[in-house]
Amino acid sequence: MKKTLNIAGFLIMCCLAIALTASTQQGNSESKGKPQQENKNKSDKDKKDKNNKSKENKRADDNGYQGKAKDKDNAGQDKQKGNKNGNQKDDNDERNKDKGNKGKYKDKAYYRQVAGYRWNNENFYDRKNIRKHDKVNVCHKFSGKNDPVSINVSEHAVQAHLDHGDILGECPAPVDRRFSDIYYRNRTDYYNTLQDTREQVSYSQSILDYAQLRLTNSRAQLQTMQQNNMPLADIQRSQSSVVELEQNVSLLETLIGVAVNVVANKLQ
Amino acid sequence: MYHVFKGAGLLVVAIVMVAASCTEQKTTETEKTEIVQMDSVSQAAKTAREKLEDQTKAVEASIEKLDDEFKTSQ
Repeated sequence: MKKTLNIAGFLIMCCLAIALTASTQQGNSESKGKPQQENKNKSDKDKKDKNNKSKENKRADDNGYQGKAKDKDNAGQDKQKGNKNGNQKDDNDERNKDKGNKGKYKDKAYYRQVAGYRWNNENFYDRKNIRKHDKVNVCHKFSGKNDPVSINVSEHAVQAHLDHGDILGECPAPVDRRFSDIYYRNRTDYYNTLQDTREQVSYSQSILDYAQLRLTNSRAQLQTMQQNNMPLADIQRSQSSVVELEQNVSLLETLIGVAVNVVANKLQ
Repeated sequence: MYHVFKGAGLLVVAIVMVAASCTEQKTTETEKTEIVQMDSVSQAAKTAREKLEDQTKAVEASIEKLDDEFKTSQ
């Protein structure tokens, strides 16, 4: 009888402990459906990234950085480089020398050239080609004690990340996994969103700089038109276009300020 | 004596399990708070990015229009 009671008591204790543990983990298991979907999406994305990477590596192996497609994509950049950077030829030579040894994203000279581009009259119309960039996986490190996070950045931003101490590729799994998988997935999504916003801010800032330059030129052109007694209708039409651009530029400036406030200091 | 040890053992096991579950609960709460914070910042960042993207397109269109205008008038 005593034996039976002992066993029953032990079983009850075990049940209680299991029930307590299960109730604390309920939060994690509640959204199991979503993670499965997220996992699927993530694995699809990873597959895509891998395919892209292998294609790029193949291209780099076959043609170095002078591949046809790459040249087409970077036509605008090359124009700008030609105009602005007197060392372009040297850098290209350096790039060609290194092509067999280094991967595409390890070429610092390449990123120095493309990361800080600004629009001008020659390359403004090529901006869509320049913007059509590949994404690269980077393990982003923080200056504090926070765990690093894998983020997907534009190839234009890779050099800036490498200079900051980040590493190419996915981060290793954290040693001390204090939180659930859901938390880590949310964290990755969060930093990817911040990175996307930061890239958009950078692009918009470039367009804003160019638009302001264009506005200054247009005002001068308007004055010339008035001095040359051009038809009034033409002058008015041009004037309305200038006013429209002024309004859009002013709004863009405000929105850049808002976006900068949202992402400020969150990726450091 | 045997029964006393057995009872004490059971008690210790139960205490350890309850303590472990309490610690987990605390971690889960921290986690939930952080997830909520991250979600709200993500949402704000997404909205800001979308607005910025639209406005950038508007500026690009205005620049092109301005270029066309000055081309035709020259």
